[in-house]
Amino acid sequence: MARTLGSFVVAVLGAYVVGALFVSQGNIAAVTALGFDVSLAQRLDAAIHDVTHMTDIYLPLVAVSLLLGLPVAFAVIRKQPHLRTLGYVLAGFVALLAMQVIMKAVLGLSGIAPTRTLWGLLAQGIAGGIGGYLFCRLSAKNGAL
Amino acid sequence: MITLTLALSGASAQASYKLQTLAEDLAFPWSIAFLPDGDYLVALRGGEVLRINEANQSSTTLTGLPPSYVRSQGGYFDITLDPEFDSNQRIYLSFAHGTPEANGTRIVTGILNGSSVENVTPIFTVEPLKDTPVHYGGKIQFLPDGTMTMTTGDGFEYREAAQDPFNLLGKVIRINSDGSIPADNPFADGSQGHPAVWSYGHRNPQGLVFDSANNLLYAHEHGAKGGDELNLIKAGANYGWPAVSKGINYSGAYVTPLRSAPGVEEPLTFWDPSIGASGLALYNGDAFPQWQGNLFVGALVDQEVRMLTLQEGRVVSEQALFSELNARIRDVRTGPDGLLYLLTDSEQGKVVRVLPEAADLGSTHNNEEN
Repeated sequence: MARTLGSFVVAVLGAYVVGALFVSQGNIAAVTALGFDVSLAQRLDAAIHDVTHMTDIYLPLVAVSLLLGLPVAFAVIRKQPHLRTLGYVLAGFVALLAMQVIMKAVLGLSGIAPTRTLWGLLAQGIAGGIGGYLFCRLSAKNGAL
Repeated sequence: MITLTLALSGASAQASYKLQTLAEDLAFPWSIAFLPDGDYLVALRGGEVLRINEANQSSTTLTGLPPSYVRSQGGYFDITLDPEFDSNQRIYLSFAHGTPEANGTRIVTGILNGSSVENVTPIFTVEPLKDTPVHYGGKIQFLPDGTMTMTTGDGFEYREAAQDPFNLLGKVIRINSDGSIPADNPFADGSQGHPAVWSYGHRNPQGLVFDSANNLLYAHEHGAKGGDELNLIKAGANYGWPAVSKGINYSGAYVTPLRSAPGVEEPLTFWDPSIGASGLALYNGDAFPQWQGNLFVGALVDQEVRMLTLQEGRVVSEQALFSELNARIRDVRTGPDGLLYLLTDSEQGKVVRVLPEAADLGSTHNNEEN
């Protein structure tokens, strides 16, 4: 149980950090596309700022998404153990992607600006997939991947 | 609905005042316009304009105005009289026009005849239409040359459009009163931008006022979190949004790492945290000599009015007023009587008049409250 819980926490944090970095760089990409220069130092500053300041809303949303998504994968994996890695990665991918799609459907607005583009939306899925992969690796017993 | 209530007394650093409720139970009043006969028009966001007669304690709904797309922030916005209203009885209304899939800010004009508006005609529609029910702008301000300026919002989902001078989202536009485009607009020839654009790079401007003594146009806008700002509007100028901003996304992430940039106008002041700036008046009345030349900014979030003192084009002091109302302030205007008028934003919104402490209310309908 402790292993599962610890794995989940690391998965959430991993997905959060990667997702926040994608948000950060996605926002900057939109700014540079408008013809404004953003230096490397400003990019790094933005990355640090965003990772440390998206904890109020985005972090809980990532946690809830994985909390809903990973158990679904677990249920499938119990019946299909050979799909363990794919199952958790796919569950994380779908969970974070679905979170953005549902928010847009409910609010009528994009809570995370870069998800207005397909690439921005897929990037959130990738962050979720990384979270799923971390959970898969860390929660595995005796290297059962 | 109509009432006269002497509610509260208060004092700013320079002036003592009292607040008088003129009308209440108004569903989300958005703007007010003062008719020469003493009546006033109040636009309700739900798609209604009331003609209120203070003396008779009566109110009628104007007929003849178009339906609006009423959802979220959409609905009726600004109601304004033509500068030549005495001779032409013409009024202008900005509102959300369209459908959930395709809507935008539109201006119509018509002739006010009692409680009806006749010959109602659309004169301008902000394009492209959008599919979000927020960030419409919609504040109208006539200039001394008879042209009309109006703010437009970025539609939230289309914030990059604010930087596109060919796109009308996130702009201050300037048109003639018949909707045609003035020949001296900064992009009038259409080669560098939309001919109607006066300034660009705005998010959701909800305040617009002209200082006729100094020939200056001021606007404020809802920024992102911590980015509400007051700007001096100049023809052809870029105000930065979303590439340059003092605010951040509500998610906590930067909108942009750029807080300033070459070629982008700096705000006269900004508010962090955001106050929810709404409504903007330049006080030029005689009732409060101490306030003359000051800007008054309504604050939805902070539930007060901010009085800004300007010197040589800079904001040198700021004071919070009227917080005793405990109400979101949607609009602030200077009336033709030299008094200040406030609209409170709620299902039971009010029209509140600010008078000098010593003023005689001269009405038998006043009820004192403390």
